[in-house]
Amino acid sequence: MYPKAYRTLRRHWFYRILAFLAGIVLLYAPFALLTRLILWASGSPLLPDAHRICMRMPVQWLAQPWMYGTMLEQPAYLVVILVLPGIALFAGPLFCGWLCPAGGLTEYLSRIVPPRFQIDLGGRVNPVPIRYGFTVGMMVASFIGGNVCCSFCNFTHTQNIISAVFGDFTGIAYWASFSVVSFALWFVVLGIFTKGGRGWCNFLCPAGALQGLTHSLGRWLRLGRSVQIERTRCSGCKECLSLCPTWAISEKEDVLEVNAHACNVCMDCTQVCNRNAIAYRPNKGTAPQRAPETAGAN
Amino acid sequence: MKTTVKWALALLGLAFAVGFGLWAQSLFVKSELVHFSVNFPSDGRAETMSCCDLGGPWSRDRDPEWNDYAAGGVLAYGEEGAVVIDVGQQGLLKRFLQPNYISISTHWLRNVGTQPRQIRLAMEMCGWDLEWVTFERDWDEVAKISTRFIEPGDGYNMDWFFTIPAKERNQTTICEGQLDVYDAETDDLLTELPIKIVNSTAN
Repeated sequence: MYPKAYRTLRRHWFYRILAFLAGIVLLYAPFALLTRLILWASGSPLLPDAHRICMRMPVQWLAQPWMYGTMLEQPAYLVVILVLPGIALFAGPLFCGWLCPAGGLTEYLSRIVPPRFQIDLGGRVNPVPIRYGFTVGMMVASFIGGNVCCSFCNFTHTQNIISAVFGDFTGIAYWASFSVVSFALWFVVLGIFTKGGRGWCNFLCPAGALQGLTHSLGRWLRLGRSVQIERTRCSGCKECLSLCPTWAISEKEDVLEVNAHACNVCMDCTQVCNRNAIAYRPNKGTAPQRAPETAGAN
Repeated sequence: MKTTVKWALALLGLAFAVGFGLWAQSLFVKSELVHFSVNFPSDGRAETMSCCDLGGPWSRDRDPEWNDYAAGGVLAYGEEGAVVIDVGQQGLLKRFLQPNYISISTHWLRNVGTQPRQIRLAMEMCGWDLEWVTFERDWDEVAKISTRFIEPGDGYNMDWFFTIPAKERNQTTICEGQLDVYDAETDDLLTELPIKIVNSTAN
């Protein structure tokens, strides 16, 4: 019913789920420890929850220079446009792959759903252009009277779920039409019923788009690290491709490669490769890519 | 993947974002999760200084000593006047799943005067039970008072939730309520905002 690789990944997922729980404690009410620290340091009078470190509005505001002052006055807004992309430049979207509760929730719950009930887009669809287009569209929409930030926010849904777990049902009590649509897309269609559980992240997350952009820039500039495939070691079994939650691994002319725009450095793939062909390696000094040897030669 | 295909997919994503955003905003301004701005004080005039729509702030007259907002307003969109929630314009899903549970919000209860003020809020919506929710730390839930002074140019936040009695929904004007903003120290009325619940599709 489930791929055999799930057994191999148990230990790795244990650490990732610990990080996911840490993400909740750092960013989401009733804990929101990192948020509390930022609010205290900035003298903000607001209560801490997922909205204070907003992962959507500042991305939209990149196209609105008159909002730059607001972002400087409230430094929590700088997390998604400076801190996370800065980390991604050197280390990849570690926030996405390890800390983000919104992405992690659907990914881990999707692992419970048998794969035969899930939409499998791995290796078939490149979500990167759609995600970049959506992010630009979010900026464009604000200029013509549209709102995609708050109306399409999966972080709000995650906060509402976590608050409800701790007895505050205010968030889940009110249903707006766009909230119902966004929840259905995030949690159901592109969430637990999509293989990997990261369909929303892959197609529709502006925070992920920004981090993917700087991660690929880092690889191009040979800065930091990224997940790479050593083609001389790769047997082409595609175990990594079938497991990748962000569909970042694809096959091109019989060669597997990792798309840095899509990879969230969860490193599930590195755990299942029995040839150590795929690993999280420094970008600097990466061996020149060569065509693989014929099957059986290794 | 061919470049043309990539660009087509990117345009698809862009179109989806724009389309969804326009649809969501059309609901935001009329019927679902309606947001509005309220500026205080209104210099002794018991008139609304507010506008509907996401956004804000909007100031009709600028106090001579306060330079941050141009007289006449800086808002990109919205109108002065009463907040109007039209339940007849709710989206299909809202109308089907939860038609009578209403939420209105202001994240821009803004002090457009020159002195810091603590404010007391009073809202009357036809005697309905109101749930007050805020992400302000400094809020006295019982007295409905901000326990911090709101500096000139600074704002305050409040959300309200209430339920329209089902038997009252099918009326053109369901309720004419009001939000009053008082100076908590002197009890002076700083501004008042009419809030109307209507149903444009009522029989």
